[in-house]
Amino acid sequence: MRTRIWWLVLVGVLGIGAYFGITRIVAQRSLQRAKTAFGLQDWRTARGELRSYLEVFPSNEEARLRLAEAYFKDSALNSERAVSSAIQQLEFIRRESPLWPAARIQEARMCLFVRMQTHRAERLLRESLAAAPENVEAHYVLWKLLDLTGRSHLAEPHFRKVLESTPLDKRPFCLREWYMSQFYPATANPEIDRLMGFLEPGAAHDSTTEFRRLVKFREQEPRAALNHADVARWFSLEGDPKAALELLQQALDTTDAPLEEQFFVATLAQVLFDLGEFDRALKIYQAWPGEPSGYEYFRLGAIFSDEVERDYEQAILSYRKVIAVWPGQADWRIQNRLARCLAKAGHEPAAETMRQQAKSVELLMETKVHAPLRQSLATPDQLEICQQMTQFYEQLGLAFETQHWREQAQRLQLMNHQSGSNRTP
Amino acid sequence: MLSRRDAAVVDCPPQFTEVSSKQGIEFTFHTDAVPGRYFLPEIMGGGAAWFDFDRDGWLDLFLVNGDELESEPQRPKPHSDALFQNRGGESFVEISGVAAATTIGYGQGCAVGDFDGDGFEDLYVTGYRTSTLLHNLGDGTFADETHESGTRNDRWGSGVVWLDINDDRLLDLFVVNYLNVTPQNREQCRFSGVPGYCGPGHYDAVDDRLFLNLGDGRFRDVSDEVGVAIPNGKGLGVAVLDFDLDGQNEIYVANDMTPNFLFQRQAISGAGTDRPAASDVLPKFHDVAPIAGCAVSDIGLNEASMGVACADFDNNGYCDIFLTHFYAQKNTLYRNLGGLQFEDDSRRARLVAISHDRLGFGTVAFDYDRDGATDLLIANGHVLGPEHKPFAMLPQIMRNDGHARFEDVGPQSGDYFRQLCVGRGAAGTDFDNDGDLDLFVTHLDRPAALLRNDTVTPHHFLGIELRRADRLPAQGTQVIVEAGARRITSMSIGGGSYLCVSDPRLLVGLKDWSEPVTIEIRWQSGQVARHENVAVDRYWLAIEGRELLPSFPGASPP
Repeated sequence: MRTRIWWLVLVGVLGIGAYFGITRIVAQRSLQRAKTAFGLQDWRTARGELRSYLEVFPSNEEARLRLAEAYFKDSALNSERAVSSAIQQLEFIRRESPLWPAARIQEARMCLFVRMQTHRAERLLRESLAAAPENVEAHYVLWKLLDLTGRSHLAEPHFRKVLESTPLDKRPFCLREWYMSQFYPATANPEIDRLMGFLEPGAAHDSTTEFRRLVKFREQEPRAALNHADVARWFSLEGDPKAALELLQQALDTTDAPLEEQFFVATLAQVLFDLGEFDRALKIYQAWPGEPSGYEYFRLGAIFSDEVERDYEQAILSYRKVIAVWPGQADWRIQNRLARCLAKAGHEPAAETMRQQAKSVELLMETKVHAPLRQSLATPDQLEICQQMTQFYEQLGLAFETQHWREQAQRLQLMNHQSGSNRTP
Repeated sequence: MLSRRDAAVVDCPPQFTEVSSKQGIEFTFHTDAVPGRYFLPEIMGGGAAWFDFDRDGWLDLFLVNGDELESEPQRPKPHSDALFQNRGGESFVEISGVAAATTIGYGQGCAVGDFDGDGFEDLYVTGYRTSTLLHNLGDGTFADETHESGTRNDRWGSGVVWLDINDDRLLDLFVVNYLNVTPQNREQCRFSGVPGYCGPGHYDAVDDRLFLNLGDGRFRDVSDEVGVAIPNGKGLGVAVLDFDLDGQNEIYVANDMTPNFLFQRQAISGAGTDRPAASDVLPKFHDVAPIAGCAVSDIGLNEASMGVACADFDNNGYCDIFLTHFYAQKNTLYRNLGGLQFEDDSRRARLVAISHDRLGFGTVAFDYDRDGATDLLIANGHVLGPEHKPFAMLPQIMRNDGHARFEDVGPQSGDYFRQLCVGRGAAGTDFDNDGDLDLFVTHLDRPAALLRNDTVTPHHFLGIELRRADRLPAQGTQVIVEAGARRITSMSIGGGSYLCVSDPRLLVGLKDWSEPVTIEIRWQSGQVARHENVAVDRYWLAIEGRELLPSFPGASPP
């Protein structure tokens, strides 16, 4: 009797083992099939297989990531449903997981491109970069996000990271994207604008595209102070600080911790300054949140020292910091301010030099300079184009860009030379 | 912390009443606008001059008219200019025909000056590829002496001013030229798909001209010799005054989308003085605006400068420069720091918020309520054409709070300031000699408007008519009024505004100071006259080298 019981237990254990073994084998096959479906872009099948797999291996984070992707990439799905399902999967991925940064990037992409939640997307990308500072994808998406939100002047560090990891022969394309960010930020990403519905297929940007985009972003996350600051900055750059201030005033009451956001503070201080509210502008500026550095911080500091406090020597120091970093090198307006400040401080020869520098930079910003450059950049991996770009950046005094375009020119020259030698009998 | 500022309480709300018809002034500038033609001159408007042509002590009014732009100019022109004689401040009577005060061609701006020293002020009228020198014969009539005088300007002239460039006590003529636009090269632009007038960027500039008075009724073009023929000046407004208080006047030219000019006369050494030793020595002028900081905006932008008003807005003793600009641009205040250094202080002046949605032309610096702070009038109106909104705009009165910070109090200033119109020229005039400055505005879309200053104010004033010993205009003469602890500085200015000539007398607001004041007059000759115990609330005639004389409104000045 006892022996029988042991046999039954053994059979039961073996049965259960077999069941689990078979289930695992089936799950592994599901995973294989999912991979195949991914290759075929058969998202529905991929999702089904991954779900089956996850029933057996619910803690497999890579599978969660892939399932999220299968939701996100399926254009047949209602985008909001897909995004919700995808994000649900991504939330399973723990913070201590090595996949956590990738999951956050994935989530950020969905927030940005589908939900148009730029604020949430930015937070996720920055969290991802805090965990994995070298993650190129995060840098790339953040660069694009800054372009789309009118803050492309803050994108340089991200562009540099992307360029570093771009294969040598693809770098001209990356450099081209950066050129567009630098000089045509509002229209730099037509494909993304089409994807997000701000541009009709085949249509080109018009004067309202950027504005519509920024307003849409604000609508999507009305409590995000940065989104209001982005729209306000647009008005400010259009020369209407009054409208900008109205938006910012409203945002002070309706958004979360607006004065904790540097860009919000910078925009508010700038428009108050433009409107002659110097005391209020200075007060806002003096309560700068976080690290007291960066382009916006030094630029405002220089202007306030110059025009509000009339401490010209201090202003000169700050202006020099500003024009040493992007976009200061191309900002002939700030260079003109420095020239005036030098003149007011009695340094006329230096003022004259700066005036001339500002003038030459201003001339380099003219359409007649950029129109042919843009046209040439349709094929950026051509020797002549790389030489042209090298010359342009050299004139502008941007050493990093000059060096990289020059390297490309040298590479292409060498290739041309080699192919020429190969043809020689 | 960030609650909205309460609207400033205005002690004495400005009050202006349109009295043109009541006073007998009926005049509409003939623009010759042809639908669909978009020929730029037709959108620029015409000027006006307030001057006492018959020396009866009451300022008369000359109004420049347009003409058929694409026809051969005829004499008499079909749309004549107008001269209105001031009958004791009670009414005006048009005497254009009798006085023969009419020009030829499509007129633009004008300047008043006694070029032959006969005591009667003459007129020079600029126009689209035409100009006219009207010699005041002193008998109530004028004669066209353009041809004999050699002052014909066949370019598109705009602003103009008389001044003595070489200290020979003869008035020379500085003519500001605008663009090289012809019927052949005119273009039509599209804005958001709708056709409109092309701006100055589409046309070449034409050089300004300086005509030297030879003293025998003839003039010689010395533009190149003296250095004022600078390429790329698309000039509209002009002002002559002594910005750095060195005893020599500078010429400021407001250019449309090109850097403004500040012509400084080069010092010519001679016998311990920096003035020319003899009248035949021609001085050289240099454009110092880029170095002085008044050529472009604080960020180096070329602004679309139209009108110019100069006054000591911040009471630092130096005359500042206010410029009207294009729609969606700020108007600009260049604060004079002394030493011929300026800074674009438009933000501190709070001009950005109140000028962004306007396009300004004529502008007048004046103290509407006599509180001692110089306010501004701005005539606004767009240039793209009536198909584009906004075309007509509200004019503005900009109240100065005493620290050169401005607030638009136009809507409180009377019916005229609550009506949309396409304003162009603007001038100030105390036509009724009551001690407050009245205003005059020309338009494209309606008759010119005379706005009587009916502001109710408890404040006091002092009126001063300056007359140099050599009877030249007192441009650059500085007047400092000491009213108790306050020192109010003002300066006589040549030119200013846009295409117009204002009342040359100085009206100084004294706020609540009603006691006699001390006046210091710093003449351009270097002579400084101090007059103590001067009664207020009246006009005085200050003749260089003599005691002050009471000037009786309406009575013939001595």
